[in-house]
Amino acid sequence: MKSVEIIIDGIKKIVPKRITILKIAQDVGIEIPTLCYHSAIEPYGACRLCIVEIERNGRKRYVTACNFPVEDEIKIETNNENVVKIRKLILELLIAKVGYKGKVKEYAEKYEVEPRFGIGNDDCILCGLCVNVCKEIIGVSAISFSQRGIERKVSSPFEKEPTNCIGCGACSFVCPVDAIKVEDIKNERIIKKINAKLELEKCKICQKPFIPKKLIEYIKNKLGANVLLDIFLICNECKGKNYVDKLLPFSLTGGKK
Amino acid sequence: MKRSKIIVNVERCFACRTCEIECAFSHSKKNNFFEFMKNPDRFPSVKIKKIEKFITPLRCLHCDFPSCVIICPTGALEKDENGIVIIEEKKCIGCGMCAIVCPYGILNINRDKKIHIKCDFCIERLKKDMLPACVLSCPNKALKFVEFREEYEKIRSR
Repeated sequence: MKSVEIIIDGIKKIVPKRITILKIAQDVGIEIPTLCYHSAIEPYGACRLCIVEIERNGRKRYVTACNFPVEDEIKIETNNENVVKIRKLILELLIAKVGYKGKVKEYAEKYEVEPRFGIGNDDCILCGLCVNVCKEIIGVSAISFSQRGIERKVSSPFEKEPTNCIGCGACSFVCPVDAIKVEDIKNERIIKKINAKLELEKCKICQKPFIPKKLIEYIKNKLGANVLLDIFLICNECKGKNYVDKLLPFSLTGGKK
Repeated sequence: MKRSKIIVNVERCFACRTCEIECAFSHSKKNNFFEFMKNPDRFPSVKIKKIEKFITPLRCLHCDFPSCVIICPTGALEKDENGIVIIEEKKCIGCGMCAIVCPYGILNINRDKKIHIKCDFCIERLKKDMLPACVLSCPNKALKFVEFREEYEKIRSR
């Protein structure tokens, strides 16, 4: 692969072509704030917070670091006055939408942002992490963006119960502002934001409902036949007790039972 | 580094939970122990549990054929050349499937704090020729760090 020489915050570095600026920064140890970036998911460039200044042939431009591939010799500034100014504006707008929540709060404190446009009360910043994790990695596409413009939102198809949601909760885990909450109530797993209601399977030993039936199906399909299948039907509490023979070290029993 | 295992002498464990605290503290970013205890930023990956008559510290066993590694959709969990199952926390998406397929029910994720709780065999400490935190801290020497195969087989056949 061909490589190019770039200058990032005054540090000269030779990097392979088409690597993103964010990855170079992480290698060098420069921190760039991100909301919609996750190293397992394709960069989407929705939050614009990772904005940096690049200079090519004397011309300056502002690009998002997470999805900008380096093609030729450029000079990158990740933290100068102008970049911080833009980032502050983006954070102000985010606060006007969702208020101080999760990672937005963290960065607002770090950049000392004052709420110029008020404090909003929405729950979602439309970063698209939940949608992409469901599509790319879990591979079920239970949720997606719907509507356009200011009405754009994350939802299940036609805001009805998503039939292919498996209830893994990855969308909730990756969300930077904790918009999606997963709750286990009685024998149902409820993800209110996406209208999902999933029936839980009971633990074979203690009879406590603990895992969605669809998730078991998904895992069974993925693993095939090479794992003990009844493992999935026992909750974590009971597993230890069930596998006591294997867990006990031999020094105790001396190999005898 | 040679391949090693940690074994537990259940008779010697009296559930003081020193290993839990030491495990969490040694992986935490804080340097001051009292500050850490006031506001812990890390969960222990070893847990004292009661199993029938015995009380024993449970942690990831670093299985030879780990089903968590097979199921992980992002490749965040991996088995390295020393036989240690390691996690790259940045890649974890929190689907929790590793916790479901773990045959011992040890792997766990915390949805509220958004963190995966997993024993890393104190890989950073081993590089510096130190024993794993749980082994070193155990006041009654219930945990033992042995080289895999030779010593391990000796204890096993006893």
